[in-house]
Amino acid sequence: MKNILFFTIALLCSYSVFSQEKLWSNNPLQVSYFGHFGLHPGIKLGTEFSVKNWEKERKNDKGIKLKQYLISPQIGFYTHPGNHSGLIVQAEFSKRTEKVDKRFYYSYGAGFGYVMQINPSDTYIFNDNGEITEKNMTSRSYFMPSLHIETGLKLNSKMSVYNKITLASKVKYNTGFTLEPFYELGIRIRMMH
Amino acid sequence: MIKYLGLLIFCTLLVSSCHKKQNSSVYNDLFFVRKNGADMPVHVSGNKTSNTFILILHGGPGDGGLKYANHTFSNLLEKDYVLAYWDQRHQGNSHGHLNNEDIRIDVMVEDTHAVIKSLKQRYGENINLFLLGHSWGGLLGTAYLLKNDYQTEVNGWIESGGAHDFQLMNTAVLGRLKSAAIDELSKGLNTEKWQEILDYCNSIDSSNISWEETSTLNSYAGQAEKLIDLPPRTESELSELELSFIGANNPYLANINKAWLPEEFYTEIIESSYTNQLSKITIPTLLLWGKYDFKVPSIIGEKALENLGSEHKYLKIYEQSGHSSMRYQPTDFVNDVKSFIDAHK
Repeated sequence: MKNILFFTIALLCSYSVFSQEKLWSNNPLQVSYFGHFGLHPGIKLGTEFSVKNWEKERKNDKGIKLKQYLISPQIGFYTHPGNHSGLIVQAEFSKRTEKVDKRFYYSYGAGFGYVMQINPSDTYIFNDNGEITEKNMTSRSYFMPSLHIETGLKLNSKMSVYNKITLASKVKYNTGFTLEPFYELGIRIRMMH
Repeated sequence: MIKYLGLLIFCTLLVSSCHKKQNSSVYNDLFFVRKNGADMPVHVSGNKTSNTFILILHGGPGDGGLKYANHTFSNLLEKDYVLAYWDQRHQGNSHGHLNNEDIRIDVMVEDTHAVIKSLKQRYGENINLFLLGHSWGGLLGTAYLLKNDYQTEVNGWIESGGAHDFQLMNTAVLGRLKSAAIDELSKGLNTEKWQEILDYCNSIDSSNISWEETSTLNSYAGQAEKLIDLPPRTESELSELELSFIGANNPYLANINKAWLPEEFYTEIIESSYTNQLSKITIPTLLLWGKYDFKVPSIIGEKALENLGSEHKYLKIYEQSGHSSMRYQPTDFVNDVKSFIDAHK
């Protein structure tokens, strides 16, 4: 119940953030295919806030690099059929670099959040007295730190596509932790310019 | 935009709901058992009209229940019975919040009881239920049957290469490896490897074998099985790659779970010795061993046959099998299991 409450509040907060028109005017919407181990399908939504921007001249007069520090709140959902589904609420911190005269950019960074691992069927729950209760779609939550690397291509001033690899960990998973890769292929849209 | 997002979420949920319909002629089900901090999946598959269930106690420790699915022997058994593939706590794809002291044999015995209670709650108290324990699962099953009156919960016990007496087993492994090494060296076969195995066995004090030595002996036992000219094992009908990505199992996470199993648990295992208590087990029992099982030599099965209190007890030693006889001689294995179950359900 605590887990569901936490994730519901997180989702509602995210919804209220995403709903603000002012936000859309300045910050992009990110939508991506979100694959746990690449192939367990899912979807991720997010946006990003620029914390700091600066320009740096490249060596030998090759032009200018634009650099940014970004914070990106995100909500993701994936499903491993017959195993579990995961609902993720997280924030990522990234450093992005792009060359002003090129359309490609890359970024890297770290994130942290929570994943709610949902059991996709009935669960028989035994208490200390051996009594059984049956519940559907039970879940457990794990702290989820992550590292990511992303490359992107600007299609125009409002839109870019990106692919991203994230290595995340569920902590404390049983007595230790896991390392789980995610692959994202997404689009970043700036509603207004 | 919202319309497209809704469509994407719908498609994702649709994909996730498709896993149970792989083969419409076979009943498939999945449920979880939550106990003492662990969420343990139980995949159920087979012929439900038989009303006869086989609960697989997987080996390892650290393998998962689904490691036994999609093999020739399990596909054959699923035609006549329902197989329940359970991932024990901290193994396979089980998850949860656990401490090292939660990983103990007795805790897993209680988990086994919980899984059996759950199977009966889900499918009816009148189901016929047999336990099939392989390797480490043989130890767990034996410990379960010896506790309280738990053996009354099941119709019969099938143990395949079961490690229910580690102390006896280590001595037997040493003896079995040494005799095989001497025999193979005399034939001039794989001399370098067999000499290495023989030298290692000779270096061990058989009255005081540590966990590290047990682990090395287990590794040599596995290598010895491959050096002997046995028929090839039947492999899973789905490749490991396919199982990794399209199946319900995640072998990568199973390996991570195995790697985190606490040392204290292994210490408890190597101190386990149940042969002297087997007279308390009185339910029908079928013991299935491979002649070339170097990991848990067949002497363990022979001693069990002598000591079991069951009126109906049988031992079958397969001439062309190693540790996993269900994969070396699947048809013989299935025929023996079927004869046993049909006689005692």
